[in-house]
Amino acid sequence: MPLMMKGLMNMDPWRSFKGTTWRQRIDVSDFVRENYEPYYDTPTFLSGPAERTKGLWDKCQALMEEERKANGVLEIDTKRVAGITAWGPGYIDQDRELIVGLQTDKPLKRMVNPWGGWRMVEAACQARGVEPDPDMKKIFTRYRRTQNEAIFRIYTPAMRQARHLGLITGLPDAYGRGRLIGDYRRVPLYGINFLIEEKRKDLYSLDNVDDTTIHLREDIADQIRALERMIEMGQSYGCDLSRPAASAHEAVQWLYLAYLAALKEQNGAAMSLGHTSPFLDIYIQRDLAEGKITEEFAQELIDQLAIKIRLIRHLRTPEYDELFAGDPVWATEALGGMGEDGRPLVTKTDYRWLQTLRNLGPSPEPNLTILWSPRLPQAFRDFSVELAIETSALQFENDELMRPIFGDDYAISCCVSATRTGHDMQFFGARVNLAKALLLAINQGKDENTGEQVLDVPKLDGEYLEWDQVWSNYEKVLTWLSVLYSRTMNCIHYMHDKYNYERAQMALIDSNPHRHMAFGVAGLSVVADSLSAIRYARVKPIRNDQGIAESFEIEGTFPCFGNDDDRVDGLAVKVLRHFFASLAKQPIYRNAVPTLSILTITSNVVYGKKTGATPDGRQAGKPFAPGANPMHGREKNGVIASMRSVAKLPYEICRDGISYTFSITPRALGENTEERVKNLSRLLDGYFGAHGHHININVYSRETLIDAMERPELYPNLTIRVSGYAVHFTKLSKEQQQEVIERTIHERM
Amino acid sequence: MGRIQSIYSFSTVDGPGARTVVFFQGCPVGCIFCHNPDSWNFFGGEEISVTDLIRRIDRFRPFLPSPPGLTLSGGEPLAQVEFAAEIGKKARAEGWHVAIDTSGYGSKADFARVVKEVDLVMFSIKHPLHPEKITEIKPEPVLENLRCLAELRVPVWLRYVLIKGWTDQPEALKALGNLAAKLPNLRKIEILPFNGLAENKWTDLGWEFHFTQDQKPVVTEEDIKAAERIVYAQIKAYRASTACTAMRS
Repeated sequence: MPLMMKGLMNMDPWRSFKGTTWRQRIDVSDFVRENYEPYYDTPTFLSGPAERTKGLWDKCQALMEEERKANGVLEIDTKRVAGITAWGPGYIDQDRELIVGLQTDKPLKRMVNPWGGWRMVEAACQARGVEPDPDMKKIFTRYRRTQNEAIFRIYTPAMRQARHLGLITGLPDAYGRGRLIGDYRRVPLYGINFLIEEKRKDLYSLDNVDDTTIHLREDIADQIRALERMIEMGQSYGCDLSRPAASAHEAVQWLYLAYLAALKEQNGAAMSLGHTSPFLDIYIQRDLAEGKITEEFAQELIDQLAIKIRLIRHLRTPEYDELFAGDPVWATEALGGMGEDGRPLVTKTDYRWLQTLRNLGPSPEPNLTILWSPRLPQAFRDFSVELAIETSALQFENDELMRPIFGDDYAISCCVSATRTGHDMQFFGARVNLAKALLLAINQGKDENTGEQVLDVPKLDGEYLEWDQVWSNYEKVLTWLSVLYSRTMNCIHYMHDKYNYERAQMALIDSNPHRHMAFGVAGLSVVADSLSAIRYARVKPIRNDQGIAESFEIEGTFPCFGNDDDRVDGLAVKVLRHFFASLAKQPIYRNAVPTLSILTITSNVVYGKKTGATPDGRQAGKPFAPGANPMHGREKNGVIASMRSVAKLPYEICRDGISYTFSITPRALGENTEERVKNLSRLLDGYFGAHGHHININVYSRETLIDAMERPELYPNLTIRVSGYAVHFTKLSKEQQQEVIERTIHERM
Repeated sequence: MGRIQSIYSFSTVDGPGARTVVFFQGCPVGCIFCHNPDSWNFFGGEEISVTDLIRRIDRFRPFLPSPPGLTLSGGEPLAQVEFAAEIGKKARAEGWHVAIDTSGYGSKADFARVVKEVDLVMFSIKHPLHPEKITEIKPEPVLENLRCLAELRVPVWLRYVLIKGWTDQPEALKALGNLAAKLPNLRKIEILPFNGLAENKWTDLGWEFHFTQDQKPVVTEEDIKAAERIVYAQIKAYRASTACTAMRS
C-alpha cells in the first residue's frame, strides 16, 4: 500500500485543477465548485464487486458473524486510553486492503474511552465480563477529572430529577456528544502542514483578552496538537498526510485517515462523514482521464471506504444499547443535492456510493442520505429511489428547504441535522419528553410514575379535562422546562468542551465556528393526539389517591395526527412554537443559536416505557411513535395524508430536523418495480413540495419482519430505517423489534 | 351534497396506477364477505359537497403520478348517482383520471348517467349466476347494466372476489367468462382472493361475520391462477364459437 504513495511523491498534487480562491486560503467549497463534473446519465457505467474487495468483505463478514455469536462484542482493549496515536497500525488483510486504517490494531476490537466518564467504561466492560486496567482507573478517578464527573458535580437537584424521571433524556453527559463533522476533505486537498499554518495564524491573531478569547485560543492550540498527531498516525500507515493527496487513491485514503483520527479520539453518538462525493469524484475523474485507474478500481476505492465505515465500533453500556441498538455510528454521507449555480451536485461518485449497497449488500452504515430536489437528474432520482425500494437503507432530505439556509456545501450531522461543512459545529442536546411534560400539567406538577413533585402547577378541577385549563398548565410546564433544559445543556457542553474536547474534528472546522444548540423533543404525536382528545372529545382522568391520573376514559371521537386534519396538526405546531419560542429566550453557552429536532431514533421505545398513560388512549409504558411520526395505527387516510400532516411541522423552527419514517409493503407501493419507482419518486416530490424535511423509506412486509424476529440467522443483512438512521433489524432488542412490527406499514387490501 | 365514509389518499390496488379513493357511504348490496360493512348505513359517514370534496383530494394531487387517479368506491357510488356523476364531471375537468368501483346494482338510467362521467368502470360481479346467495340482490339489474356497458365506449375492468366454496364453482367461473367475452371494451379481469381480514370490522358493528376464525376459507395464489385459467378458457371458447357462428351465417 505505501508503494503507490511513493510513486506519486514528485507529482504536483494540484495538477490540472482549476480556480484560484481555494489556493490562497481554506475554501473547499470553492475547489469543488470549480472542478467537479455533474453526471446526468444512467448508472450503466458502474462496476460490480472486484475480487480483491469481495475477498476482503467476506473476511469482514465472517468477523462480524463471530462478533454476533459473542453477544455483540468481539474484543475490548482494556489497556490503552483512546487517542489518535494510541495504537500502531492495524489491518484486516493487508494484501487486499486498498484503504487502510483501523480504530485499534485489530478489526472490531473496541477502545476504552474514559474521557467521557469512568463509570460508563466500567459498566460497559463489566457487562462484557472484563475488568478495565486498574492503573487507568486510578488515573481517571483520582488524577484526571472526566466530563461525566464534572457535569454531575454542577448539576442542580432539579436537573438530576428531570434526568432520572426521564423528562430530559438521552443526555450526552457520560459519553461523547458527537454530531460534529470535521471537514475531512481539507486533509487531502491541502495536506496537514498547510492546515497547521492556518491554525497558527488564527491562534496568533488573537490575544488573551478575556475568558472568551482565552478559551478559543486554548481550543486552537489543542487543534494544532491533534493535527500533529494525525500526521504521526498517518506515518504509521506509510501515508504522508502532511502534504496534499496527489491521486484518487490518496485522496480517499487521506480523507478516511482524517475521519479515523476523530473516531480514535471520540466515541460521539453520531459521527458523519460529510458530503464528500463531489470532492472525491474530482480526484477520481482526474486519474481516470490520466489513464491511471479504471472504473473498477474507482469503485473499489469507495467500496473499501464503505467497508471501513461498516467496521466502526464503540464500547457502549447495555443502557445505551437499549436506547440505540446495533452499534450505530450515524456515519452519514450526503449524496445528491443541487449546487447554488443550478448544476446538480450529482457525480459518478454519488452513484458509486449507492452501488456499495449492491456490491457489499445493504447495510445501515454509512448512513446514505439523498439530498432531494425535483431538479435532480432523472436518472439519479430513479436510481436512488430504486435502491431505496430494494434495500430499505436510504433516507431522503429536502435540499430545496435546506440549501437556502445552509448554502450548497452542507452535510447532515447525525440523521437530519444540516451543518455547513467546516463552518458550523453543534452542541447535541438530546431531547425532552413532551408527553411526560403534558402529564405534569394534568397532575399538578407531580411525576405520574413516582408521585414526586417536580414543579407547582395549578390543580385541574372538574370531572373531565378542560381544554383551556390543560393548555394553560401545559404552557407553564413547557416554559419551565425550556429554562431547565437549556441550563442543563449549558452545563453539559461547558464541561464537555473542558474535559472531552473534540480537537481532531474541530481542527478541521473554522477556528471560531458558528455554533448551534441542538435541542430536541420526543412524543409529539402522543401530545398532539392527547390535546386533540381533550379538545374535541371528552376525556375523564381516573385519578389515584395522590390525585395522579393513572388512566383516561375517552368519550367520543377526535382527529388524530397523521390524517391531514388541520385541527390536530395545528395543535402539534402550536406545541412546537410555544416550546421553541421559550427556548429561544434562554441564554445559551458560547452564544450558540438554538435549533430543535423531532427525532428519536429507536429511543421512542424507552421514552414510552417511562411515560404513564396519556389522554390519547395510549397505555402506560407503550412506545411512542418514532420521531415526528403519527402514532401507530391511527393513520386512517393513507400515506399521502400522513405525509401531509408531518410536512406541516415548521422547519423554520425545527432546523435541527424533522424525522419521518415511512413504511410500505412492496405491493402497496405499486404492481412492479417500474411503477414503484414512479410512485415513490412522485410521493417524494409531493412530500418535499409540501415542505416535508426528512423521510426514511422502508419497503417490506410485516411477515418478513416477523420471520426475521423468529429466524434472525436467515436475515443477517435485513436493514430497516428507523427514525433518522438504519439498523440491522436482527440487532434490535425484542422490544424494539416488536415496536417496529407494530408501526403503521401502509397497505390496502 | 353526498355522504362519504372516508377518503384514502394513496392506493395502488383500486384501479390503474396510484390513486386516491373516495369511499361512498351507503350500500344496498349487502355482500356477506364485505370488507367495508361500516359503509352500508345510508345515514352514517360524513356529509360533504362536491366542491369541498374536490378541494380535499386536490391536496393529494401533487403526490400522485400524472394523470392523478381518483376512484369512487364504497359503499355503492350508484346509490348516490348525482353526487357520483358530479364528482366525476368536475374531477375529470380538472385532469383527474376517474374510475368507479361498482356492483352495477342500480337502475339503467342511473348507471348510464354515472358511467358517462368516468374514464373507467370497475364492475364487481358478485356471482354471475346466484348473487342472491351471497348478497341481498337479484342478478337481473346487474346483468342489464353489464349489457348497457357493452354499448357504452368506456373501458371496463371486471372484478370478482374468489371465495372458496362460494364463488369458485367451475360453472360460475364459466358464466363469468361468458359475461366477460361479451364486453368489447373489457381491459382487464381481476380475480381477487377473499382473505377474511374484515372480521373485526363486522364485530365492531356488533354484527356476526359469516366467516368466523375456523371457517375462513383460504384462497391461495394457485387457486387464483386456476380460476383465471377457467375464465380465460371460457372467453376464448365463447369468442371462437361466436366467430364460427358468424362465419356460418
